[in-house]
Amino acid sequence: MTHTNQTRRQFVKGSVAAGGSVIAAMLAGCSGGGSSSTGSDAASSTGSDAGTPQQGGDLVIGLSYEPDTLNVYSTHLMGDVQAACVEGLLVPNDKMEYEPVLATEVPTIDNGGIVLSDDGKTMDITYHLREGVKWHDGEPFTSADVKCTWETLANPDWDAESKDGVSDIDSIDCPDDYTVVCHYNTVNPDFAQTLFTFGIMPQHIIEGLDMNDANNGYNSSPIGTGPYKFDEWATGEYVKLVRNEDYWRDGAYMDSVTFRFVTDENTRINMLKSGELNFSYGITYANFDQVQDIEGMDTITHGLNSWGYIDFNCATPGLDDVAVRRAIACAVDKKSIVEKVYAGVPEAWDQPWTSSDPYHVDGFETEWQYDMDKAAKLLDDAGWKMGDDDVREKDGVRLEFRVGCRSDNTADEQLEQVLADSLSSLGIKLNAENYAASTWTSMMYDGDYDLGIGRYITSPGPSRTVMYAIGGPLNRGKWENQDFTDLCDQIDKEFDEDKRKDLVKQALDIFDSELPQIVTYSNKEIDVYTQNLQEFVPNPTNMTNFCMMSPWWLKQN
Amino acid sequence: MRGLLKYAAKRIAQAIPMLLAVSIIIYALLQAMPGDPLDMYLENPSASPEAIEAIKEAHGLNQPVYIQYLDWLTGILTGDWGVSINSQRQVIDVIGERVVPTLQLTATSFLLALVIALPLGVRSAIKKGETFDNVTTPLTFFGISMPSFWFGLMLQLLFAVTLHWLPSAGRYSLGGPGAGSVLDLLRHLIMPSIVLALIYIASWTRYARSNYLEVLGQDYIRTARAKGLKERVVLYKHALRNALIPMVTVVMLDIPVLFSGAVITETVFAWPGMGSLFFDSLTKQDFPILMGILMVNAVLVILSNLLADIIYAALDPRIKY
Repeated sequence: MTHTNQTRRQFVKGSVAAGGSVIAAMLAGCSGGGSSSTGSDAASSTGSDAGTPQQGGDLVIGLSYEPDTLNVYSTHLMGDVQAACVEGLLVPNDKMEYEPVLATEVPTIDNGGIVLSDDGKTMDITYHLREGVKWHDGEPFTSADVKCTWETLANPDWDAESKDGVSDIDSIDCPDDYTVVCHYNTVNPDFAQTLFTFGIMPQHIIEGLDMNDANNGYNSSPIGTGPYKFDEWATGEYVKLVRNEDYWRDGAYMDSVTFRFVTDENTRINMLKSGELNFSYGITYANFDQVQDIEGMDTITHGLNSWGYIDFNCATPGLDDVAVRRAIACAVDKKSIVEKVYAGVPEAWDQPWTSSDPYHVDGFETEWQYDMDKAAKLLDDAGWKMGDDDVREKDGVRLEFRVGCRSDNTADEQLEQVLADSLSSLGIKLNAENYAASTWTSMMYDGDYDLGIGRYITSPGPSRTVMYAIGGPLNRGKWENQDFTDLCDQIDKEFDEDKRKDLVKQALDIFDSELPQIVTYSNKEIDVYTQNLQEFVPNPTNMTNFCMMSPWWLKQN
Repeated sequence: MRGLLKYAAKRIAQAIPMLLAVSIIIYALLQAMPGDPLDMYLENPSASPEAIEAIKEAHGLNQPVYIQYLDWLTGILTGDWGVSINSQRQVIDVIGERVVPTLQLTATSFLLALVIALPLGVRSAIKKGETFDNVTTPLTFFGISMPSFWFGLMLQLLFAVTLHWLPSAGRYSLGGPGAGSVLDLLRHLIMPSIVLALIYIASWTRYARSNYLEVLGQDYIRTARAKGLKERVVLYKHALRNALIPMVTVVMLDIPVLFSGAVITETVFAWPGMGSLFFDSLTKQDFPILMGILMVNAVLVILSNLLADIIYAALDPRIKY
C-alpha cells in the first residue's frame, strides 16, 4: 500500500481556515453579507520595495489554537511554531515545489539522488547534507541526526502522529558525516511529503528519550537548526522564539517571533486592529470584510492546497445511482455559492487537484454544470418518478437524504440550506443534521452519513489514493472504482512528470463521470499582517506560512 | 463555636459520598458525549488501526467504562489525576498552572461585584421609585441580559482598538516598559473582570434591592422608627444587617458559578485560566482534564455551601448548630 501522506494536522488546518471557534461562528452569523472584493493577490504583496533587510523587531503572530506538543512528528495540529524553529532536509515552496534546506539539492533520478533498482520495485535515495550547520545548542548537524530521526520514528514504542514513509525505508547508511543513503523497499515519487521534510531531530538530545513523554526535554522545548530558536512556552498564553544568531545562511533578522494563542477569532481581529498582534492567518470568510482595511495592515488571500466538497456516501440507497449524484451536481450553482456563502474568497472549482497545485488539469470544466433542466432530465431518464409528497422514488427507494457538516461552520450550514432549497424543486429532499466537529468526523468515518460538506487539505503531490481509491482510509463514501484505483497506483509510482499529469487527467475524467464527490471550490486562506513585514511569501502547503521565514524582516519606523 | 466546628466536620463528612456520586455522574455524562478523543486519528491514514489501538491501550480507553472509572478513582485518591490525551502532560500540572490566573480573575470580579452591587441595591431600595432607582433597575436588566462574549468584544473595541487605553487580551504584555509587573497584570484584568462581574453586579443588585425592601416593610423597622431612632440608624443598622443575611447565601453560592462564567470570559480575553482550558479541552474531548476541572468545581460548590451556612450562623445569632 502506498502511503499518501494525509496527516491529521492537515485537516485541522482546513478547519482552521474556515471553521473558527464556536464563539466566532456565533458572531459570524451577525456580521452579515459577503464581500465581492477579492483582496490583493499574494504574488503582488511580497514586499518588492523592501530594500536592504534591517535587523530587529518583534513579530507577534496570533494563533487560533495552542499547540499540543512542539514535536513536529507527534502533533495533531498545525506545525506553525515548529516550522520557524525546526528544519527538514527539503521544504515545499509557494509553488508547491521542493527546495533543499539542510540537503544541498533535491534528489532526483537525473541528478543521481534517486536510483531505482533493476526490477523497478525499490529505490535508494541519497541526500547530500549542508556542511557547517549547527543545532541551536551549538552542536554540529550531521548525517547521524538524519538516521537517528528515522530510527526514532521507526520505534513502535513511540505513538507518533506522522509516521508516513517510515516503514518504506528498510535501512539507512551514512558513508560520511554529510551523506545519507536511504534504502527504500518500494518506489515512491512523493517520498518527500512527510519524512525528513517535517524536520530533523538532534541525535545528541533525543537518543534514549521517552518520546511519548511531554516533559522529556525535547517535545515541549525543541532544538532545531532553524532561523529562530525556542525560548519560552507560557502555557495558555504564547510560545516565544528568539533569533538564532548562528543561523547557517543569511536571514533570521527579527529579534523574536512570538505565537500568541487567541482562540476567539473576534478577539484576534481586535488585537490586529489595536496593534497587539502583527500577523494572523486563516481568518474565516465571514470576517473577510472586517479585516479589509485595518490601519497599517495588509490583507491578502492566497491559494491553499485545499478544496471544499459535498461528499456522497455511495453506499446509501439512492446515492448509489450515479444519475442521482450527477443530478445533484447539476443543481449546485458553484459560482453563486462561492459569492454568497463563502464571501467570494475561494474559487469555484471542479477537480480535486487545487488551483495552487501544479498537477491540476488546466481549463477543466465538469460535465455537470449548473443546469436544473438537465438535472431533472437525468432523474427522469433514470426512472426516478415524482411521488405524491414531491419526493422522487424508484423501487421503494425515496430520494430523501441527510446532509451534515460541522456545526461550528456557519458557511457550510448556509450551503446546506441553499442545497436543500435547490434540490427540493427537483424532488430530492434533504434534512440537515449537524454535529460538533469530533462527532461529525467520527460519523463520517463510520459511514453514518448520506451527504457530507467539508474540506480537505493535503500535502504537495498528485496522489489521491487515500481519498478515493478502493480501501483508501479517507474513502468514507465507499466509492469503489477499479479503473480509478489502478490509475492511482500508477500515479503513485510514476516519476515522469508529464506521464503523471496525463494519468491525473485520465483519473479526473473517471472522477467527474462517476462523481463520488462534488468539488465546490479551491480553497484560499486570508492572511493579515503588518505592512512593515517584508519578504513574506505565503505557503499553500501543510508546512505552514512559517516554513521559509528566514528572509522575513521588519521595517523599523 | 464548638458546635460550629462539629457541624462543619459533619458536613465535610457528608460531602464525601456526595463527591463520589457527582464523580460517577460526571464521568457517565462525559462518556455519553458523542464522539471519542481519538476521533482525530481517524483522518490520519498514517495512524494505522494498530497504532490507534496502542494509544487507546496507553490511555486505558479500550477498557469497559466502569473499569476506566475505577482506575480514574483510584488514581485521584492517590494523587494521580491522569494524563491529558491531547498534550500527554500530567493533568495535575496542566490544571495546576491555570489555578492562579483563574483565582486572580474570579477574585477580582467577585470583589468588584460585591463592592458595586450592595450599595447600588440598598440605595435603589431606599430611593425606590425615584430617579436613582429608575436608572439602576433598567441597567441591571441590561447587565443580566447582555451576552458576555459580545460585551467583552465591545469593550475591546472601545478601550483597546479605539482608545488604546487597555490591552485587548492576555494576562501580561509581551514586552515594553513594565511588562510582567503587577500594574501590567491589573491593566489586563480590568476588562475581563468587569465582563465577568457584570452579570453578578446586575443580579446581586436586584437581589439586594428586593431583600432590603422586604426588610423595610417588617414590623421591627416600624418599631425602630416609632421609638424615634434616627433614620440613618434604622436604615444602616437595623435594616441593613438583616437584609444582608440572605445575601450571604446567594453570594456564596454564586462563587462556583463565577468559575463557570469564566469559561466564556477567559476564552474571549485569552486569559490562561481554568475556564479557557475547559473550553479547549471540551472541544478536544480531553476527558482526564475535563474530569479534573469538573471535580474541582464540585468541591467548590460543596465548600461554598458550607461556607455560606457558617457565615449565616455568624451573622444571625438565632441560628445555632
